[in-house]
Amino acid sequence: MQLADQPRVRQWQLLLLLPAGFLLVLFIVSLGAIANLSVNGPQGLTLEHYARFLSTPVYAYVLYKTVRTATAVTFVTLILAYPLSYLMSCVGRRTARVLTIAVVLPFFTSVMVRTFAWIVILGRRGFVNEYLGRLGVIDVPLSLLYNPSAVLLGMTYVMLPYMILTLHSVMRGIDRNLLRAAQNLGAGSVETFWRVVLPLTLPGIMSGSLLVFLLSLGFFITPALMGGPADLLVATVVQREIELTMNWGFGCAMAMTLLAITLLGFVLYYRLAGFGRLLSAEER
Amino acid sequence: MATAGLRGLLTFPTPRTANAPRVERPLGPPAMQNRGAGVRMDKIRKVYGDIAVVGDISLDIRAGEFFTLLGPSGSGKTTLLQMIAGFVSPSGGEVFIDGRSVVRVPPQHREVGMVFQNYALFPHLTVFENVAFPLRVRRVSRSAIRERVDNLLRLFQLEGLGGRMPRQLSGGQQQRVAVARALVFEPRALLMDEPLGALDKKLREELQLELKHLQRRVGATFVYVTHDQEEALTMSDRVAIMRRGVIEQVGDPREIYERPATLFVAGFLGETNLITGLVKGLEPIGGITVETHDGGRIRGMAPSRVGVGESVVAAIRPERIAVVNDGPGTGTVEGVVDEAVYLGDSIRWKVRTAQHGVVVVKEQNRANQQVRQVGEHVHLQWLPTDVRVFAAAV
Repeated sequence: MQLADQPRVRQWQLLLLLPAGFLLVLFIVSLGAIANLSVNGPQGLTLEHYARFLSTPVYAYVLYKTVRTATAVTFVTLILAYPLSYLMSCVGRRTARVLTIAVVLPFFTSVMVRTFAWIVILGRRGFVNEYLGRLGVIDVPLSLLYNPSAVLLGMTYVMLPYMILTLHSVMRGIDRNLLRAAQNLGAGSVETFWRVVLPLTLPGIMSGSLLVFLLSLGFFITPALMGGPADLLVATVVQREIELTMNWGFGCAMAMTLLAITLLGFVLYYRLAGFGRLLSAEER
Repeated sequence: MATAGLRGLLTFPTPRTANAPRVERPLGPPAMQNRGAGVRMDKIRKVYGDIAVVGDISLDIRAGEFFTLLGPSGSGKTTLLQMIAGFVSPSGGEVFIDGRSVVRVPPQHREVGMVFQNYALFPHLTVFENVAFPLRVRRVSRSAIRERVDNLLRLFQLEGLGGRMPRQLSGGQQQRVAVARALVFEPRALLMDEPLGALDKKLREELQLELKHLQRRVGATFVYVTHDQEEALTMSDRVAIMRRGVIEQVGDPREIYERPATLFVAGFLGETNLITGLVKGLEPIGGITVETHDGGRIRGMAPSRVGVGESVVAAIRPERIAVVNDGPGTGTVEGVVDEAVYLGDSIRWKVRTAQHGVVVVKEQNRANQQVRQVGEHVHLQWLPTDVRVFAAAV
């Protein structure tokens, strides 16, 4: 019975190669092309683009600022997401479901639309300036956009759901009895948090932070739309190099450098996420 | 459940509870000489919606006794325990530990240890750190912690396992760590919620006696929750039998087994022949005559008042019935052996009688035990004092 079925299943499984083929063509090949462009000069193979990128102060500064922004976004996101995730894991199932939907809801619209929404809110003639002006708090509209804080705000907003969902999945797995046990053994709320909750959620903190950090590194739309001319991040510069100055080699070298940093991060991420999965599996 | 969790997690001590003094006692010598605390409940009640999970229970658990709450699942025993621990706040009534009302005292200040059914060992801490936890939060000095925890690990035969993680231990070892952790801060009472439920039968029997000995040595009050009657009878000084949120009977194991106060207790503990009938006549000192539906007569004792003509159930333990060969005498019932089951240490007969239906008899398998054949005519005998008569459940 099973033997007779096997060939058919195998044939059917061949269909699964189709998406794999897509991936191969779309990603591997195009990535290869980019890598190829980044090391190709007029005189054959060269690393001059990489050298220029990393040694030119302006570009090195952009790279530094990108990493710094991603770090800041990660930090702020973590601080904001942690209490909410904790709350979500404590409340009843129905409330938790409503909260989860609320968290996931932004995914239904594009990042572009959501970023423009922020521009509508914070713009020179946006809601905030309008109301503050009407209330007489300010005479001249505040410039709330096109500065590093606006980039931080916009990016944090976009990244928050990723962090919340990652943290929530870890927190939900914590046995409530452990918290009761801690209390019973004499630990108050604060002590229970430091000695039990925080250590047990550490894997979630690690993987959530890495996920947000990596996504932030290559983030394009929000920093490009909400940042000022001084707030260029790597992704934006890559786009300009290729689209405006047609400097393919240099743009590709920057993209590859960013990719290298991201890959390094992903190796770390999988180590930690794997560790987290291991821990929760063993608990059960 | 979820709201209870929320309350436990998110409430920071309100000013009132924050000022409640923690019962500060110096940590005694490792011999753990400890006078237990009495736990008294006064009309305690827990209502969820329309359902009274625990309904107006008053109970006085004496200092230093091994007290068991026994009942089927859903009888409210765990809720009652959690109200003592402080995880569930009662809808009404009071809980006193050592004469002090603790209803407003948060769990971390109640100074009662608790062993959870799944042990609730901290998975990120070693065995040593788990046992040291209550001392760490009490800011006991490092050297004192080391000494106490090492002593306790030795006492619980966990020497050399201090560096292990809980998941690396066997079920029995985890259980011992949980008990050690709950005792290390010398609580005056130890609460246990089916702590042996997850273990296999042989280990469970071993640990039952271990816990009993431990309780004698430690001297703390043990409040034990179980649905296993054998466990309750083996370990307890006294047992409360619970059903649907109320206590049916409180007494020592012998009392509740031999003199059940209600039909539920009689049926819940051990095996019992239940024979229905009507009250025919009353005798002095609780004596009663019952006429069974098949025309037989049974004399017995009624623990609570029943009236003539009332429909009742007569309960007789199988081991209190003797099988005899001949001679119709007083209190003998005629019957035919319907089934014989050999149990090694005992033999169970099912005897079909004309007046009382099928009656189960259990006899010790003694050296001169007579072997009855199926179909054999026998007589059954019992004492009227071994028959308990209860009003039939409506």
